[in-house]
Amino acid sequence: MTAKVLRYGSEQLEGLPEAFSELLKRATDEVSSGRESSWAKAVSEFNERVPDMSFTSLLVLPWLFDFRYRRSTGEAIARFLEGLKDARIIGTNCESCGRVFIPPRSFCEICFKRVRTFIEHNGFGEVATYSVAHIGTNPKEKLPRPEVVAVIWFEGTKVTRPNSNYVFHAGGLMHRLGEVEPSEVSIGMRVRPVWRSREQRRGDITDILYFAPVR
Amino acid sequence: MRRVAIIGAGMTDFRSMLPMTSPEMIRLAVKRCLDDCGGLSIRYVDGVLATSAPDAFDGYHDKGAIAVEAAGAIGKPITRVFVGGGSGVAAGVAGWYHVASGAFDTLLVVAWEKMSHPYPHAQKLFQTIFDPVLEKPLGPNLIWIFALEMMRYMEAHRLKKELIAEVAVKNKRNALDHPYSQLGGRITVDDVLNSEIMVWPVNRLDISPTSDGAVALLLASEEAAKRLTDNPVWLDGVATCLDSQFWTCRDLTYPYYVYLAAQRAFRMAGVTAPLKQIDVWEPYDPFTYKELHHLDGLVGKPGIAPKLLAEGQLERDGDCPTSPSGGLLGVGNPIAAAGLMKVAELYWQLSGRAGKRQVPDAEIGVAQAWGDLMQVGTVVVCRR
Repeated sequence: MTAKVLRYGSEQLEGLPEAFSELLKRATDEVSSGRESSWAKAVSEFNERVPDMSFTSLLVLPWLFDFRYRRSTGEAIARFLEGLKDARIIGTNCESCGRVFIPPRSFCEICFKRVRTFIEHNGFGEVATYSVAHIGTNPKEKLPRPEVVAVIWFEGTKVTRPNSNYVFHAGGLMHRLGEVEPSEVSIGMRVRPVWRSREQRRGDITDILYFAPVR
Repeated sequence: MRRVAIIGAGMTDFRSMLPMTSPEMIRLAVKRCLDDCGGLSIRYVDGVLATSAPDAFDGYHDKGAIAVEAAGAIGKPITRVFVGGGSGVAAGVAGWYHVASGAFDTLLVVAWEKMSHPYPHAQKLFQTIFDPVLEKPLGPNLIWIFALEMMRYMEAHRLKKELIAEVAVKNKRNALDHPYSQLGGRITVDDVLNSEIMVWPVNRLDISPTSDGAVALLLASEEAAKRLTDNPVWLDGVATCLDSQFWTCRDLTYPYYVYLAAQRAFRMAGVTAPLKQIDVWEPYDPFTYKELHHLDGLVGKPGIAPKLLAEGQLERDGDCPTSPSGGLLGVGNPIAAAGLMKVAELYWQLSGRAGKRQVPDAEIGVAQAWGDLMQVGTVVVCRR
């Protein structure tokens, strides 16, 4: 582990977040790549920008965790993923309350019973809600083009509260929408899954490329 | 059960990249809290209730232990609670359990967050909250799911983005009067609408800033409170309620779990007509629409909050002053600490010490936070 002393005044940080964050970023970059001289340059630039600081010391320690997992999916999700490989949407059905679970679950949290009945759904659904993502996981990186992200509720799985439109339960997935412009999307729009080709399917949620409007 | 009072509060600045370690922030907040109790010695504190968001922010497993020295907990019990974003107010709820039960006469409640440790940005760690099989392969960002909820809410009540943006204008303006705030300012609705689109309908200025900071409260039993202060604020109603983890399988229009938690807390506190009786509201506002969404749940009437906002009732001098502190949007959002800041604000408001932020004659207040996968509502009701 390498360390670098970064100097700045603890009282004067207010009003400096940008200059400081820039310095922190360069500090971490320089330290991890061992370029000491350009680090010194960054500090002197910072000193010029903020001449009236009284200095105290701060240590910045870059480090990295690399955790790996091998995760049990459980039987229900295993069968769902197997289904995706065959371009089929698999769910389970609680025989006690009648609710359909997509993705499938192995127990019903309301009846508190094991759920053993697997069903196949035709994949048609409606857009429960959508948004237009300009960023992916890293908020500082714009996506090449905005993507429509949506929650899809599968047909025939909606249970509403008595005397209300409030949806108490539905079989639903988050996914992308495709073959549609963001301005054309609306809540309630009917959609169907568009699959990768048979050779490309791996038993992964991305075996569904996206959901597309039924026109 | 015994009656529980809040008898002191303290906090650090909320800032991005505070030049302090997590224990240093906690100690400063605790010191200010004890000073607020007339310089009470840490020896009079019986135990500590600590909360902070994922361990990953500090990069340190079991980081509840970070608070042991900093909150003066050597030789005392310390309990850590965690329900994601709802943690700050959940700490108030769990603190109540500790004192009301009779197990503790005085209890320090501390919350902190140091979100500037992760590099280059804390957002990356939020990836770990998504389902690794069904969601993570899509490359999601936390803002995606809030944008989905916001769209569903806007559609249900036919809300315009222009109206929702008013929440940012109001809270950032309120925060100008908060001595520890990070992002107080005078902005306009156009500033919000013209700020960078992150995930439509969420623009940059709809989002509260990541931050570092710590907050501490001192709770006391009725008997201890009478001995230690002339100006207690009573913690009279507490509740937590969770909905299903399967957020794609339920309606995001209305936070039913917040409604249920609020109803329980109101019943405990003897509040029967919240809109009439409550003087100060601190609903959780990590995003602009969330303040409205949560206020709907607290009041128990879907769609009422946007109407109150349009009428100007949510201003500090309105009938339903909401986030007079400046909220997360203005004061900052060091996750667990931000929730406890809202409880601290009730303490300052109801004890008449909120300075320029003071809502006149405030007697009853409610604070609420929200978190996990859009599924937990934590609520406290306080009374002068």
